[in-house]
Amino acid sequence: MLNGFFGEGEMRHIAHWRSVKYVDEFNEEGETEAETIIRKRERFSHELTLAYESGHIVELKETKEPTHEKCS
Amino acid sequence: MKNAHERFGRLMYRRQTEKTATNLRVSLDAFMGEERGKAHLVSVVGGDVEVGALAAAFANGDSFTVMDPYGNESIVSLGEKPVCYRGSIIVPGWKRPLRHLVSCSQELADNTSDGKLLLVSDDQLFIWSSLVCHYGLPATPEWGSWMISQLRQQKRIQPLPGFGYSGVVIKAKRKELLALLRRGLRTRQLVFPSANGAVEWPEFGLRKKAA
Repeated sequence: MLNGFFGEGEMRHIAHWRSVKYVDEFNEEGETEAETIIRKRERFSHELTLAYESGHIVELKETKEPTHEKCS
Repeated sequence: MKNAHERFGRLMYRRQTEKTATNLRVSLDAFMGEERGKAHLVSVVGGDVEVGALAAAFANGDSFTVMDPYGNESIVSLGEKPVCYRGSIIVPGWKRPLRHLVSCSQELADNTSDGKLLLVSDDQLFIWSSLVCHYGLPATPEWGSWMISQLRQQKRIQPLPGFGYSGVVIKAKRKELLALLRRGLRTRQLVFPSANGAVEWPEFGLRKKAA
């Protein structure tokens, strides 16, 4: 039901949802010097693609959060 | 349809070590490959020992020789970590069942690739539904004929050598397919239905190609 035609007028569109697998990687310092432990965590996230009747296409998906550095 | 012995090809595997020599020959039910010695799909039937040895050889990434029903030979390999499925076929009158082994290359089994999609059928609806599912495209079954014709025009759909199944490779990225959808909608080649609602895909099955 989620994949289909929705909306009216200019906002009328076709939607498609899908699950996308992401692999997060963490690096940890090991017990000995110069040892790095690489941990990988797999998870799924949703991705939505919309196509409007005008031909406009929108992709709504997970993006990396912008990192804000603290100013001293 | 031809008799089984005429439809089948042969798979030959030879391995020689200092102490032992392995020489196997089994019936090849279907094969799909690519240029430069790449094999993507192998379906063989044989005895218990033969199929067990072949599964080990495939997992090892060893090369083997395939001969199609017309007698053409090629040396190929399934590459690293192929996916193997094993089953048994009970033949009336035989004491032991035949063993069936289907092996797919990682490239064929991979469902995350972007830019190259390998499929085991050249049926238009199968290609289109696979593209929609694999790349997550907002599309309907009715849009398939225009999209596939465009992809064929751009020579993005190419047949794969083999027999048993009519394999194809589709060389297109998600970004390129979305751009094609955009063009189709803008030029009104692809039109929305009159009413809103869910997109329904018809059911279909894979058909084996007789040699």
